[in-house]
Amino acid sequence: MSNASPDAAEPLIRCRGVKRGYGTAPARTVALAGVDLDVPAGQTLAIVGPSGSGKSTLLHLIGAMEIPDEGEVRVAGRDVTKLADDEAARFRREKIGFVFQFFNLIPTLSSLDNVALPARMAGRGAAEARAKARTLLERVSLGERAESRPDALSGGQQQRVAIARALVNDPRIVLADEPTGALDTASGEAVLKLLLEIVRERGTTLLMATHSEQAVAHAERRIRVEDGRIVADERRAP
Amino acid sequence: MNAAAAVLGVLWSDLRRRPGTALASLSAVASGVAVFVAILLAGSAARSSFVSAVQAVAGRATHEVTAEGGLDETRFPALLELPHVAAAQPVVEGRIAVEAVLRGGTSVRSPAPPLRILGVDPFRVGPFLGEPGKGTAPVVRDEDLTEFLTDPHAVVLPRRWADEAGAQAGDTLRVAAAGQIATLRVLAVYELDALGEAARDSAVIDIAAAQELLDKCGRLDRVDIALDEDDPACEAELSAALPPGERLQRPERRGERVARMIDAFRLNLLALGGLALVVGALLVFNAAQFSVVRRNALLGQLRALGVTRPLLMGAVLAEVVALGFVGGALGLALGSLLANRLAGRLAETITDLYAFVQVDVAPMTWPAAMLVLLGTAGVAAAAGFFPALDAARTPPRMVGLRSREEGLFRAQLPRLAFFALAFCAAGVGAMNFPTRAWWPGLIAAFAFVGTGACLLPAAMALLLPPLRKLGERMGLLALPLAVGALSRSLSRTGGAASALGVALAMTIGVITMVKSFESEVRRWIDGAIRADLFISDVNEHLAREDARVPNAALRELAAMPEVEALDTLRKIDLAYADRTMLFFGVNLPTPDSRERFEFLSGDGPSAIEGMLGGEAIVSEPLANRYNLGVGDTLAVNGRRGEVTFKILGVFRDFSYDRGYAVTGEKRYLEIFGETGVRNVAVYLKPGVEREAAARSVRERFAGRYVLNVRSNAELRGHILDVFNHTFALTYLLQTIATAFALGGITVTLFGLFLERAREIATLRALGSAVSHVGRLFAMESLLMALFPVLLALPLGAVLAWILVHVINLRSYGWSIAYAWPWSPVLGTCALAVAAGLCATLVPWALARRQSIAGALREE
Repeated sequence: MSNASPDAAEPLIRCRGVKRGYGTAPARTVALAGVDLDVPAGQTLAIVGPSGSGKSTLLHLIGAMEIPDEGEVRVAGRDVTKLADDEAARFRREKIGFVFQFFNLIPTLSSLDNVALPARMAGRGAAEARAKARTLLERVSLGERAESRPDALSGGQQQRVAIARALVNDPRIVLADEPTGALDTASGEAVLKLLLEIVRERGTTLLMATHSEQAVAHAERRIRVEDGRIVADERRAP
Repeated sequence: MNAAAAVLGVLWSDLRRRPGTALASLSAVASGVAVFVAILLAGSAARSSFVSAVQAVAGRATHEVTAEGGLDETRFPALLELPHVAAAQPVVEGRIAVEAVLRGGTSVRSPAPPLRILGVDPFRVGPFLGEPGKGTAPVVRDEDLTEFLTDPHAVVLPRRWADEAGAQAGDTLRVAAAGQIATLRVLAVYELDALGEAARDSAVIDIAAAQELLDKCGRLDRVDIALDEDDPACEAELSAALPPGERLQRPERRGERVARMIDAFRLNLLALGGLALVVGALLVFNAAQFSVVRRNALLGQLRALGVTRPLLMGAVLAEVVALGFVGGALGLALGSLLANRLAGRLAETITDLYAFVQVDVAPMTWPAAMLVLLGTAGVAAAAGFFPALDAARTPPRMVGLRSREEGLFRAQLPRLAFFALAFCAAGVGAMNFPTRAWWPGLIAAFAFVGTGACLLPAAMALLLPPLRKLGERMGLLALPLAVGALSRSLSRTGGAASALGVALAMTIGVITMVKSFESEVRRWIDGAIRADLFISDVNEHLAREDARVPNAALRELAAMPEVEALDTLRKIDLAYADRTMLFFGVNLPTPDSRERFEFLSGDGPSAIEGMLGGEAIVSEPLANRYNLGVGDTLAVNGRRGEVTFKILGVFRDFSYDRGYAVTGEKRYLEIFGETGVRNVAVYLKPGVEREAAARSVRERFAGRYVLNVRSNAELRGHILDVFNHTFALTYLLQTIATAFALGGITVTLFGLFLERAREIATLRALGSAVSHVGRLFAMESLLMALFPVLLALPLGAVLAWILVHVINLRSYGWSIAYAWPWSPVLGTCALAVAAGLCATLVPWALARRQSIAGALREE
């Protein structure tokens, strides 16, 4: 089954014949066995499938954190598989925001500095980056916890900080890997709602690997990955 | 028992999964033990080499009679008549350099190892031959006896030396003895069991020939005695029968005073090795602490599964002790290798300072090795005690909390601060201990090292947060991240920083001491080295008291038209108190030569006049060591009994740490007889160029005398060379300790990277380029080096002060002005920082190769 849109102008994300495996034969594991995928700008996409099916790998490839064994991954008109290390870093800084399952906040930095960090890395001045970070923290209702360290925040709060961090450079794409996986149901629901709200109001494209039915229900499109292949692709009106 | 085995099994499996910490512990223990063992082995080898050499050929002698400056040979018949003397043999001995072994006019070995010349009377040596309890083998066979007696050049060589030098009967040896070239003919080779293992380099020669060869005509070094009954009453009776100036002693006590000085020197080095062990122990503590922090969750789970506190503590302690054993064994092996390299330098230094030694490092005995292993395990146990206690206090739970883990270490900071205070109090107490001995200074040095080691992690905990705030305020990106990383892993970074800080402080202390010393020595040289040329026996270090400037050479020098005056120096080693001292006889023929003493007390000109008239002046080390001052009386043994001198002045001197006294040549010869001129300072006539005169003397003496002819500038350079040579060993050991400490920093940074691999991957996922990560690592390593530097500067200054004003003064008697050498100190600090930056290369290379996705995937 092809998930590409053959006629349209090039979408924001285009994957063609993407294959990725780990290890060497005979113990080689195939994570992606030939994936074709087009994602237009502004879409919210849930990627579902059992553990080990290749969901995270697909996100990592789109985020230029890994290189496929075969195939092409184009994001915003660029083949990200051909980027040199520093170019890939710049690409991630400018185009991508990441939200991880276990938040991955820098434990020694305050919430504000965690959020400001990607902006600082992108070359913005400290004051400008912090101002932007503060606005985003207020947006995720954590303005009062700006000076708190991650270990003083609940899991849900940490993930909200991570969402703010993902958006600080106004990326075109947010890649979220099991964003509610480490949260209880209520917190997970709140975080998910917030994430979808923000990406929609900003027109940001969201790709979200998830096991959560709620997440799937809120996404405009759902693809199912099994054994490294997309076996289902469903769209619904937002 | 089963529970203990199970817990150990769990810890072992964790250790195998993450061997980094264990390897860090192992390398710390191994390096510390290696340095200590190397010093121990090399030092023991040097001492035993000296002792066995001086006791060679004691054979079956129960006693010996000696006198300062030697015995007059005419005394020998009278000694035979004394009560209880069953047998006696006169002995003349000395060391000579062998320039070549010649066979048929062709050199077969050049140069050959030095020989010890043993002049004996072949008709009297018989009763003394052979080691006690073994059979007697002849040294000189009957068929060789006539030739041995009639040929003044005939020599009988020991088997081992002959084999090593490739010499055989019939060969000729070209030797340098008493400042002259001579030839000896190899009459035969004797087997070792004749004189014992200790005589392996002793060549036997007729006593009259030995006297001539060694320029000791009419003198005996000693008379070996066999008493008819070896009991204290006989010994006392014989001793009482000896005239004043002659001394009866057991052969095994010969050289014990020098051995005592070598022991003191060894102890100084061992103290340095001990500091290397301290650095090692700090690294073990560091690794053990980190191991407990890292495995906090695992330990909590074990507690949740019912493991008791004592069992957990025992298991963690057993693990540390086991690592101590293994590290100790590795250290033993490394130390043995290092000892062989160290031994040569040590032998050179001891030869420069005290006595000629040749060192062969013997392997460590099993009991000694076991002792070292047990000691190492003990140090490891001490270093691991508090971490093990923390392990035992781990609350039972199934999930580890990172904040709790570091909290565990932070809870120790007050304890560390308390220890720092306790160490500091101990150091101050030791400094004020009412004694002139040097060991309280050493205890104080160790105590202040302990203070610094405990203080640094606490200081880091205090200083890092404001530093992060400063970084944030300044808008720096890497600084807050780096500070945060170090702060979060204080359990690990604190200990490693302490180890490096202590090693650096030791280095700075030693550098400051050496540089202070050097600037003082340079100033002293300017005043003391005034003559134009200096002439001495080339083999001075080998021959020691038998070194000579031959009289014939002196006469030739005096007759040279360029020469205005000769300032001759006679020198004798004397037993004094429990050690030895030197006594000089001088003539000071020119006004300039009288200016070379820098008096610390006493009126210079009148002291010189009085000294030349028969009283004495003493060097500062002698005055300090024995609490002597102007107006005191110095009593020493001369050839005819005790003589006393009034001390008229104390002068600065850096040439002999055991100290010496100087009197006029006339009084010296009266008291000690003609011991030979040891060296001569030549004053040239005005207008004569020094280097040209030196060349002229060398050309004149070539092929006849083996003398060093040095110009004023050359002697100054030589003295500084000897100075640097003496401290080369210290620098070497310091370098090793610092290198190990830097290794500790590298391991720590590496560990930090492994621990934060996910964090680094997150940064990279957020768009941080590899170069940014490199800058972050660089900032971390910079801080990891800067904090030790901050500790090392004040601690190094304190250690230097102790070395200069306490240990050096009390141990060697030298008063030195404390001079802070900015340039080498800052150079050392810069080197540590640079090495720290280099240590980031490995983690940075790993970060470059790191799979971001892989690291993020790992939990």
